Amino acid sequence: MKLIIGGMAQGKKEYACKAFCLRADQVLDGAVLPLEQRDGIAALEHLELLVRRLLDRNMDPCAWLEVLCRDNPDIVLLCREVGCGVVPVLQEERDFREAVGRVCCLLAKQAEAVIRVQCGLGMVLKGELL
Amino acid sequence: MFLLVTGGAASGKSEYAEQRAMQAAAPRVYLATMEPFGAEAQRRIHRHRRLRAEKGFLTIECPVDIRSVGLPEKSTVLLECLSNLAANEFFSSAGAGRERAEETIFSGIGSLLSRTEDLIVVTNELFSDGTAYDSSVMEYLRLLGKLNQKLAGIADEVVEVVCGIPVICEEGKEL
Repeated sequence: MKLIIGGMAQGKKEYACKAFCLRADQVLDGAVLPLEQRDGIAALEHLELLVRRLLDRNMDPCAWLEVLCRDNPDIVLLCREVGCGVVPVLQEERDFREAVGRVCCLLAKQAEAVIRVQCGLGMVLKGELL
Repeated sequence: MFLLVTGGAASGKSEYAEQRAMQAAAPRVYLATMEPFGAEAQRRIHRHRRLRAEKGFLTIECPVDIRSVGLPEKSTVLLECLSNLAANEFFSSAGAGRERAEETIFSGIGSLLSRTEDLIVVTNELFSDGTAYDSSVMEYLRLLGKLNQKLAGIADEVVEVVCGIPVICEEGKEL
């Protein structure tokens, strides 16, 4: 599993497609992915939105993602960084921000490679690109 | 040489960009993109103008349409900052408007590159707070993100300044 993180509009998807030879249509969208579909996934973007959907259903994002990564050991996960702002006023938003951050820490521990994309440029934080 | 400097608020990116401009050849031009609204802005601008004049910078204010700005020949230009310029082109009545902001700014930078020895552009990291702003602000953020990507794509060097420390994102090539 590889993890690509970065702020919004930084070119994470374009970078992932180039670095891991993916077609754009192979990168599924966490905003709409059916939650029971967890096999045959090459890449998944908007992990942060998937986390929000799981929280909305009172499901544990870490447990859900564990199965996803087990069934797709070569998956490329793309997640927006959401933690660099003022503490949100709403409890729901605080929970969301916390969950996304924790999920990324957990995934980064298990990932073969972690890359941060900024201005379209990738910085390898862990592992190496072959 | 084209250097793109990015960083969060109060990260020391301006000071770093100025240092780099000081290492480049004179004449040095500071292209200021902030619209000077209000007394506080005026005071800040006058103070910064004076400080930069001591360092040998000529300050030119250019809140929109950088393509049309007049420059001394073979100058080093420090443009500060892209986030203001993008906001002016995108939101302001004097700007190019939402449809044309990206193209206007990108071609404007191209025009600066063709007319300068060295160009330093300061931009901003506004993308990682996870806040859902209203749709026009989100559209503005996507514009700035896209411009950052496009400029990084043609820059010789890209640096993020963190707590005043330059972190190299893309190394300058020795010529």
